[in-house]
Amino acid sequence: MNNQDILRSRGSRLDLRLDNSENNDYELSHDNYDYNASVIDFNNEITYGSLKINETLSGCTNVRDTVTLTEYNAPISGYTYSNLSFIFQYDEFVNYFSTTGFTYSDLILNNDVFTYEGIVDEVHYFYISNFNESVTGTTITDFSTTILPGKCVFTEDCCVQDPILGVKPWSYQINHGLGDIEPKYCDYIIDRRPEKGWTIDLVFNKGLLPWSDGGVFYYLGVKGETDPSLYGDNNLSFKFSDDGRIIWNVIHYVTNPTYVTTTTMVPNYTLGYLRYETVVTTTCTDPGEFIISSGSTDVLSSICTTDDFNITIVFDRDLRLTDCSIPNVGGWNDLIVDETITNPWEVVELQESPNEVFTERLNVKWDEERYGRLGTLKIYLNGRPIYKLKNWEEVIPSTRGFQPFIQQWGGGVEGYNDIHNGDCNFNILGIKYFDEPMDFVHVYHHHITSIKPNYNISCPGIDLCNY
Amino acid sequence: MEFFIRKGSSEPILKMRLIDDAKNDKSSFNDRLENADIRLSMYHYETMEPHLLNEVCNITTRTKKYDQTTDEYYIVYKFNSNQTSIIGKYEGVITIYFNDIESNKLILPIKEKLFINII
Repeated sequence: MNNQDILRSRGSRLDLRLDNSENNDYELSHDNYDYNASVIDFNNEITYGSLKINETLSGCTNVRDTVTLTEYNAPISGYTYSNLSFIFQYDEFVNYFSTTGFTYSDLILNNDVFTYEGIVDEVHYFYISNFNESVTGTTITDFSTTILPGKCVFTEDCCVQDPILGVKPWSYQINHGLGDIEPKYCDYIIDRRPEKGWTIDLVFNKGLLPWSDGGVFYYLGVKGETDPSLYGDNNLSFKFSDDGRIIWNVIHYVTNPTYVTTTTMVPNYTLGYLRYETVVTTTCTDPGEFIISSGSTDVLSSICTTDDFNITIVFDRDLRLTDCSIPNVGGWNDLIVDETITNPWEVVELQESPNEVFTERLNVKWDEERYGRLGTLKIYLNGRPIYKLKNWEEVIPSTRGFQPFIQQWGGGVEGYNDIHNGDCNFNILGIKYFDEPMDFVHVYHHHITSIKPNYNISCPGIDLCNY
Repeated sequence: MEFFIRKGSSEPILKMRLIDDAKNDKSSFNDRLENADIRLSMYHYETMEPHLLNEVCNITTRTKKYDQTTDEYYIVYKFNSNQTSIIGKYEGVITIYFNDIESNKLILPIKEKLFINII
């Protein structure tokens, strides 16, 4: 927009500029039914069907001294439920389950299930019920080091969301929501890729802590991975910088990793007779090149962050994708380079359903379909925009390696050249995840109706904050 | 442009839309609107005495008929009964203060005056 103010400098010189403002003229609209009335009703909240996560991490600690395991009353025929409970030192606990190739502390989730074989001829299942209770002095060696993938392995019910248990960071598997028993009828808790984008909304109180204690407050991607070919385009974090900015970080790949695939025939005697099976081994000989993609806001207004403050981050993809387009247009189907049926003999001889396993790897097609992942990243402070970046590439977690892909609040993860490290020591009063992108109108309305009345937002009238 | 509202009423709302004559770039204008403060002032038609000064306007979304089309936003203002208590004809002026570039504003409407009639 151009303007002209000939009285500037007391009229001593003309300020002539090309004016094209008439192109942005307005007119009265007489249609009474073609607008969204709910976003201008500031007395009532909007109920969002897209709200998938609505929790608080208020009062959560970043410390894990001990872990409490409580027996799970598994709905298995003949199961002997004994109401057992153990408390272990956390370090001892995670070291016990760590093995060559992975560190268990990098991938532990609160709804992991553990198998106990300390009682003769009995198997008991345990889940994590608490942290930071007093240690009872039991040894852990009676537990099997095999970790079951979640409580839902025992039930037809949908998987439960990982409990928070008073400890940050809080993480859970993104597409962990299907019951394990066929038919798998539950919806995913969090979709791997929403139709149009997503919105995360957080309320912080930093108290008297410096910004350097802010750390990583949100992470999306594979957890605790160290191989760049597995974590490339598979990680995203938001964190506070030491001087009070919000920084986003992603490691993107720029050239393809190189893989060599070898096929061998291996004899299998387990069926009681000799059968040769094809074993395909793929080795990454060149991990390719990766770059750290990063950006930051300006320093956050000190007026608006003195008490509670509200950060909203929105990703709005250029393309709205539905149904099959979600995995296909720039989605994870472009990562699939191989499909293996793990039970071919059973399919042919016993007419069982094929058990398909897809191999996802970075490849040229994934790169070519990058346009399908581009969109706009926006960051708001107390309902007002402070950052906008177009052509920002969406991160779609993919199944590479064996680590789970997660959404995590209140802390970062290890690996990745340490760019996602660090926990958030601020009090996180509220966290929300919507699987749709909010436009600025809805962000503002949500702040005014859902955040401001419930928290001590000090930004006076928010209009006084000059961003 | 004539807008009519009954004395003591708060309905209908005053709703303004960007003229879509293909001369402007709606998308980039929406970007600027995102970080803007919008105010309404009303002056008596004959005396030019101010009736309302710098009242805060809001923005709402226009319901889309088709997906994948550019978003459209309305500038809206909802009167309260006090503001419409005196019958008369007023000239309405809407000022958009863009916060992305300092001291930059757009005064609306441009080509045709907006008259608010309280009847």
